[in-house]
Formats: sequence, structure tokens, C-alpha cells
Amino acid sequence: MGTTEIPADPQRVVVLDTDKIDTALTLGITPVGAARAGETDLPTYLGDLSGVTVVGTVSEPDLEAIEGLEPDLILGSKFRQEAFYDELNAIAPTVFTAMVGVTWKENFLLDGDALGKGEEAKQLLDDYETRAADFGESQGDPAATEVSIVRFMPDEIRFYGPEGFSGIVVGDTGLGRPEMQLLAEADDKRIGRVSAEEIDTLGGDVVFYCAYGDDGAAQLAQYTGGELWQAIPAVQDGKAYEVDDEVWMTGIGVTAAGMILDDLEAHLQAS
Amino acid sequence: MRAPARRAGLRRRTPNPSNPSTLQLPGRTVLRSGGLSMTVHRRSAVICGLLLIVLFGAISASLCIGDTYITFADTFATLTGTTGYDRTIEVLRLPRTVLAVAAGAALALGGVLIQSVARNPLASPDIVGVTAGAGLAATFALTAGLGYAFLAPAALTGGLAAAALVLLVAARGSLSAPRFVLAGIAVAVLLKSGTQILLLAAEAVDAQRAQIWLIGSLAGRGWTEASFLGGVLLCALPFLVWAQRALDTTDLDDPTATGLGVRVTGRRVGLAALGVVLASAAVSQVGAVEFVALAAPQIARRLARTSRPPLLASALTGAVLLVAADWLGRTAFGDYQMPAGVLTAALGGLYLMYLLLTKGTRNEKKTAGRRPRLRLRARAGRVRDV
Repeated sequence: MGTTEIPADPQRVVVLDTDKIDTALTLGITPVGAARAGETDLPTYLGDLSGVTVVGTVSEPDLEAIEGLEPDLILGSKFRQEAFYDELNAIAPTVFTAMVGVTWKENFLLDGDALGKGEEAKQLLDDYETRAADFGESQGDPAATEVSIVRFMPDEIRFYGPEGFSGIVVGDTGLGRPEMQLLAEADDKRIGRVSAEEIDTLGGDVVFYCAYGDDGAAQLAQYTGGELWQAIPAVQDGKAYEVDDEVWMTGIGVTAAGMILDDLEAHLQAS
Repeated sequence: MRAPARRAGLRRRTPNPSNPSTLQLPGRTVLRSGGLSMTVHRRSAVICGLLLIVLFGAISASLCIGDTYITFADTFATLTGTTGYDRTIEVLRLPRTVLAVAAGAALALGGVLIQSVARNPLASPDIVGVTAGAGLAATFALTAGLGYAFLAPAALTGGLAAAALVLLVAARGSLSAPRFVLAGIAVAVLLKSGTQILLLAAEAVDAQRAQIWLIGSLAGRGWTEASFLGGVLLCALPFLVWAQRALDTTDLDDPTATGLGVRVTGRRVGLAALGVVLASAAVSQVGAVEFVALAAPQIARRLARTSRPPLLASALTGAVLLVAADWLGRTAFGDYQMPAGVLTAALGGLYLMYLLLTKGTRNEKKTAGRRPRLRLRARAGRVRDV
């Protein structure tokens, strides 16, 4: 979208997408302002964010609030804030990453560079990948264990493929996935859907599941109490674990990825 | 040859001694300059003056009041020179305010033209499918992952195509008003169901972006959109001058208008096409902002007390409404940026209820009696209001 001069050591950073809150805090920078995802508040898994001013939502940022914070760097996504680039770049040097999710590692390195911490970012990402691989090796033959990732949305039930954020993290460990969740035939290998009647086809030796928002939680309660869910072998074996949606789904970043590894270690070490 | 000269019998009691052939028209003043003359509806002129003052007030509020309060003097100084507020005013506030003026005016003008052709005070670009067509095309562009650059052209094409379809369906026969409205509703419903299918099938984030577009917002829009709309309005100006005269016959019944020598269908198609182009252009730039095209003409008509919605006063009313809605949405809800279309739609609901509650007393009773006959006679004499 053009080139921009960015300060070598930005002090006042505004982040306009959820993955960039994770990125900034992972690199030890507390942003002065951050945009909320839709109607929800800022994520809670990153600790105390009370010092961070909320500057509107990711799709409708509050430009005057951002200007009032006098930032020296703005991080956003082309995908979400393309329309606002000119205004944002007039306020402070603005760096956009193209996509959210699939390219989270590249985004992390680019945002790390923009924040003046490119080396640290590379190191942290290497550390994460080493940890993921080591964990996989500790499992003996990780591919033999199939991990199922299920998310209850207000209006549908999803599973996450090899290119979704949590799917990438699980893939980095070398753990296996159920055949259906590899989405081999699909163009979009991030997300697949099952109908309420097909829940028992989800498969997997271990199931990690979560819910998006209160409406999703209501769906989760309804379906996990149902017979089809109980018919899943992993559920019968007591190997279905509810996890934090913010960490596995909306977070996206090295800190969230590390916390997914924490979940995997906690629940798979015993097997 | 001016018609009144042949109509000495109609002359009022106090003819102007320097212009013995002048027909005095109630509520109107005749302006003459050399061989040119025109009549001005005095109340309309006063209302236009007042609306200009209100518009100036709304623009001032939009430029001065926000997260940072900037005094009027500083705002004026920023517009003419350089102060510490250059970015706030010239990047964040001025472009969208100018766009609001242009889009509000274009929507209102589209509303006047379409309402006049449909002879239905509630006819708005929604009725003729403009909004629904633009909405479907924009939703497709947003959910299919086309670039942002395709959004406005897609919406413009969609709006025009939908309206063309309506005109095609309605124009079989004489483009009578009920046919026009019915065809518009049918096409709009069809297209809206298409939009719903796309929204349901789309990713949540795409669907949310499409929803914001469908509501209509000026956030993130500015000079590019404003200059496009300004250009459209400029090109439309000669046609609007023509429309000012042509509109006078649209609310006559068909036999009367035909009897006056008007080519009814041709004129209706021309007026509707002009209205559709203006509405499509506006909707393509700011999204499906509701209420403005629907209500601005009716508000202006009631203020000016004219027999049909006046063009200039409607355009000014539309500009005031959109500037005010955008300013409120930007400033009144904390960090949440309320899209302008939410506020115009909320006001639209209230206004529609007001119309329904008071219609019996305001429209039907008033139009009985002397005025229709007077209007007819004035038209026969080719009186033009500005």
C-alpha cells in the first residue's frame, strides 16, 4: 500500500487487530491503544490490559481517539482496515499485514521488525518452534495421536484444519489429525463445518473444544450434553478437554501459541 | 411569447404598471432581467436560506466538535492556513463532512425524482431496487475477497443494473406509478434475499464488514468519494434544471398531462433515470444509507409548503441530515463509531410513524379546495419555481 518511514524505537504503539496485541506484549511492548474485536473486550489471557485505551473496533476504529493518543506507530491488517490507511498513516506511520491467521508467523516477524525488535521476534519464534518439535518428540510417534479441534459458534459447529492458527500450532508438534480435519479436498484449509447430526464423526484420540462468546457457550453446553457427543470415542475415554477460545482461536500470536502448547503438554503427557 | 399575455382575463386587480401583462401568482415573485424572467416561490426561497444557515451550523459542529474540541476561530484559521489542528480538521473531519454534504444532497435529489415518478411520498431508492442492487453487489465483492478497489464500482453497477431491471419491467405499458412501485418492491425483495444468502455463507469477519457497508458509513471515506460524487452532481446539474420544469407534470394524472402536450412516459423515464443515477452514485460511495432519500424530500416539501418536493430545499435537507448523522455517530457513543446509516435509519423509523399518524390531516385535507386548480392554471402558463 506504499512505503512508510517508521521510528527505530517506537514508544507509543496503537494496535488494530487482536493478533497484534499478542505480538506487542510478547515482545515486551504495552500498546497505548488497541481495537476490540467486535462487541467483545480486549483479550484477558495477556494479563492486565487496564492501561491500554480501547480505540473502537477492528472494523470501525475510532480515528480521533487514535490521534488523541499521539502514537508513533500504528499496526493493523490490510484485510480489516484498508479503507482507513490514508487517515491512519496521516496520524502516524502505519504498517499493515495482509492476512490474519494463516500467515501468523510472517506477520509476527514483520510486526516485530516494525516494533524495532526483529531479532527478538526471530528468537522467540525459533524458541516456540523448538519447543513444539521437542514436545512432539517426547510423544514418541506424535503422528499416531490424532488431535481434534472443535469450536462451537453461535450458529454452527466448526473444526479447524491444518491452516487455522491452532491447527498450525498442533501441526508444528507433529501430532496427527483426524482424516476429515485435514481438509485435503478443500480450498480453505483453515475451517470445516459439521452439522449437529454429524458431531459423532469428528473423530480424534483427543478432542480440544471451545466456544465463541456467550451464544457459542450455550451451544457448547447443549451439544456436549447430547448423545452424539457422548458417542465420540475420545469423549468416552475422558479425553475431551474444554480450552480457552481466546487462546486457541482469537488470540493468534507467539504467546497464545505457547499457551496452546501448555494445554497439549498438560493433557497429552500422560498418554 | 409568454402565456399570460393572452390571458388578460386572469389578470389580478393590481397589475404592475411597468409590466401591464404580468399575472400575479400567489406566494411567488417574478424576477426579470432583460428578456429573461422567472418566478420564485417566496416561501421556498426563505426556507432554502434558512436551510443553508442550518447546514452551515451542522458543518461547523462536525468540524469543531469531536474527541478534541477546536474553537470556530481555530477551525477557520486551519481551513485558510496552518495551525496545530491541520490533521484533525483536514484529514479526519473535513473530507467526510464534505462527502456527507455531497452524498446527502445526491440521495435527497434521487429521492425527489423517484418519489415524483412513483407518485408515492414513501418511494425511496429502496423501492426502485437501487439500494438492494448495490447491496448485493457490494456484499458479493466483500465476501468473495475482491479488493477494496472493486467495492464502489461493483456497488454502482449493481445499483444501476437493478434499477434498469425495474424500469424495464415497469416500462411495459406506460410506466404507471403503481407498476413502478410494485416492480421495484419485487426486484428489491429478490435481491435482498440474494444478499442474505451471501451473508449467511460468508465468514463472520467478511459478513461483519458487509453489514457495516449495508448500513452505510462515512468512516474511512473522504476526498476520493467526495470528488466522484461532486463530479456526478456537476454533470447532473443541466439535467436537474430540466427536471425542475419537467417535475411539475408528474403528479398530474395521465390524461391531464397528455392533454397539456406532455410525453408522459418519456418524461417519467428520463426523470426516473436521473434519480436512479444520483441515488446509485451516492449509495456506491457511502453504502446503503437509509432515510435520507426517503424523508428529505418530504421534510422539505412540508417546510416549503409546495405541492411537490422542491429540488434545492430537498438537497439541502439531505445534506443537513447526513452531516448531522455522521457527526453524532462519530462523537456521541464513546469509542464506538456508530455508522451514519444506523442513525438515519433510526430517525427514518420514527419519521415513518409520524407520517402514518398525521397523514390524514396533513395531506388529504389540504389538497382539497382551491389550490389544485390554481396549480393547474399556473402550469398551463409554464410557471417555474426555483
